[in-house]
Amino acid sequence: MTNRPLVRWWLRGLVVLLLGACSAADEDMPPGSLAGADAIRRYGCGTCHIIPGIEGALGTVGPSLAGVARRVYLAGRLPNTPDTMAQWISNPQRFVPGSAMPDMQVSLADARAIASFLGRRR
Amino acid sequence: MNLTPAIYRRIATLAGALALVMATAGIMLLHGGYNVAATAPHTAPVFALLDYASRRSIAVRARFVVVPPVPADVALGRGLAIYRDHCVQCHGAPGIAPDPFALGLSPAAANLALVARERKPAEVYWTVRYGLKMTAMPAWEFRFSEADLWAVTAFVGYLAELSPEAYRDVAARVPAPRPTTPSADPGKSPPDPRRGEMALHQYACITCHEIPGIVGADHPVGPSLAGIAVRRYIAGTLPNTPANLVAWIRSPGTIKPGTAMPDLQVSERDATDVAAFLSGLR
Repeated sequence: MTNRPLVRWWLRGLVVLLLGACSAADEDMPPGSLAGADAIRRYGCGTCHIIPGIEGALGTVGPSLAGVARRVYLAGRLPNTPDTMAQWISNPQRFVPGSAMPDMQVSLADARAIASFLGRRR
Repeated sequence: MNLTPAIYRRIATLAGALALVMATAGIMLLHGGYNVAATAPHTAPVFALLDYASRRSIAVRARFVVVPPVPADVALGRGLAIYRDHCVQCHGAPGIAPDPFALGLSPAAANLALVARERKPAEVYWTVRYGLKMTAMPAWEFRFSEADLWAVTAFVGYLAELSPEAYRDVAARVPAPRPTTPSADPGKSPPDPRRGEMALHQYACITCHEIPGIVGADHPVGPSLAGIAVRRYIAGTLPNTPANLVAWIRSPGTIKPGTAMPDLQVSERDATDVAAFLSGLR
């Protein structure tokens, strides 16, 4: 068939495009999300939460954080913005006294970095 | 049969025509060509098709409904009270218009005096109990007991016989009905995950939570319920036990004041069935 090479050419183009899309997604990472991933590991958030993008973060004590940036509410009552998310992370007991989520002494800067990391994974 | 080139050509033409129709439909959908506005009525053929499908669907399913006798005083007492408090708002009554909001519904709620003349009681009961998809008619199965569903069905049967005057007269005399009652007693039947799945629709859980296995339940208002069966805590504070889960579903505001999860007046049996369904989400 005469169009075989053409098909192969198209497929090759498609593969290049897909690979390009993948690496482009990694480059999209805003500054601070690497710091966020690092902070998530340091505070051990993954022992209680499933967190896509963090190896070993498979905890089932609290809710999964997959797609948490799209959630309307945090902690069952806080309207979800990057700012309220950082506040909640740095001081959960202030918002839900008696919450099983402990105060991990997360600095506001770390909390913001974590919120930024969680915010870019939709 | 001999597959001549002529037959091949005919098959190719048919396949081409089919592809063209599908491509056209796809482009129309992509460009929002179908108008979902309630103010844009169906075309006559579409309306005729949907109306026929709906009538047949109800008639065939209502064949299996066994109609119990309902005393007139129950129909004109409890039945009328339920009708006045939960049906008039959309359907109106003799001489009484539906509420203004209901006038904007599409399809408009049917005049039930006419329905009383033209439809069988079994069909009315079936429609009240299960509701009608893609219309504003809700299912009442999870709101009223079997006896109440039959009481209001029986009352609809009287609608065509009541003059506007007579309706106003009897409606004014009937006291407010007791609060809505769950469809069955708790404890009498073992927890039923299939009923729980229905309850997740009927209490609108699906509008706020992602729930694996339920079509359309993918809304991130509250947390996803994926893996809820193996979660250590619920509501951030309660150890996840079946009893706690039922308590939380029934009364979130008591357990966590200020929570965005509202009290949906879930009966004990319904909450138990929901918990049974959720216990399968590992």
